[in-house]
Amino acid sequence: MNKFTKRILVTALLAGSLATTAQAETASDTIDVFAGLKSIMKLTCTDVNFGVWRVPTGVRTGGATTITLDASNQATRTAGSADKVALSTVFEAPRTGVCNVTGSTLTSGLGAVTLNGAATATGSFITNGGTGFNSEVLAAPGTPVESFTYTLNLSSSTPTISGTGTATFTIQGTMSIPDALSAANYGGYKSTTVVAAFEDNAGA
Amino acid sequence: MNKFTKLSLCAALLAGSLATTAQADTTSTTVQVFAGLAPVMVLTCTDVNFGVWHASLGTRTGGAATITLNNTNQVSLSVGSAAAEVSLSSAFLGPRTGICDVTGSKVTSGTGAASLNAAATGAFVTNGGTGFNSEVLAAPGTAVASFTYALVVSNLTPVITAQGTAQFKVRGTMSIPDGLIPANYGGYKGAAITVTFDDTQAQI
Repeated sequence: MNKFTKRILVTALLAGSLATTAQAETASDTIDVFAGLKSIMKLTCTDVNFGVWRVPTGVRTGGATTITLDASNQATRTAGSADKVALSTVFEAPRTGVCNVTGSTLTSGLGAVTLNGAATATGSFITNGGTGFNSEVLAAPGTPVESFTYTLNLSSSTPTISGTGTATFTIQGTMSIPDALSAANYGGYKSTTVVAAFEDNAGA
Repeated sequence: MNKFTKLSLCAALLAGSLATTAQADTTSTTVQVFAGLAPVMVLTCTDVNFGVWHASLGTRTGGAATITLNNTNQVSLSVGSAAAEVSLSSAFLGPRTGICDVTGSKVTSGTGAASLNAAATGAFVTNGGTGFNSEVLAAPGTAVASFTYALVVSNLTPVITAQGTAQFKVRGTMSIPDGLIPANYGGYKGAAITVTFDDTQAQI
């Protein structure tokens, strides 16, 4: 075989080799796909009810009356006039707002609670449409009394988060029944909306 | 940037990403605050008057005389002295029960609970001289001992009307002691008696 012929042969062998490398091959592996679904953290609160109070018309000895609603649902006069002011027992009894947190990813530590973005929420009552008091309807007042105010606070501003990602706190507070009521002031009242917010991992 | 620096930066970014994931979760809800003002429930009662009685001096047949005042303002000599020795004077205001009226209850059906305090049973004391019609009956020179009375309510569970009103009466008996002397003649009165009406019974 002359030199030229050898070269041709080598080229042909190389070509044959390349053809072999290009044959189909199959490789496989397994992968897992992960995804998770979890409930969002949720806060629910019952409404706060200071109860229906019997109050005489006109100027009362001692002036405006302060009613305090404590964490045990007891509403009592704590300041101001006691002049014939009494809780009516024929309507729904006073109650705190009970707030429950569920679904926190944390299982320990403390959360942080605010009312309207602050530690306390204050405001003035406005007329209520006539519901909100047990099964009995307390009509809206003919003339809403001015300066009928409330201040809400929290049983704990840093409630403990349980091992199951829950927490509980209550909303309580005081209200001030103004002096010199007129008969047209009698009726049902409610607040403007109060926003309660809970933040977990507050120390992070 | 050398390779080491690049790796450090990546680690820092990862760390930053992890820190962001651990941020606090926040949830919120709204609550309403309710309160109500209602009229004071008012109870008014007229005074009880057993009338002015002619009673003979000294020892009387049958001893002490028991006078019963009923719901219809009628008085009767039920026990003790003979009618000839003890009789009602017609020159003074006639005997009358106490009439008690309740207004302003938020209850519009059912029954309430009427009661008298412990002072409903006691002994008369001298009266200043008024309280018997337009005529003045002077106070006795010497108040007689054991001139007693015992009052009761006509109905322990008065019905509450649809208008939130109720009515009941206060009646009872008195005992005119035996052995009167002239100085015992005159006007008497009892201690103040507290009458109470509770409309909460209607919730049952």
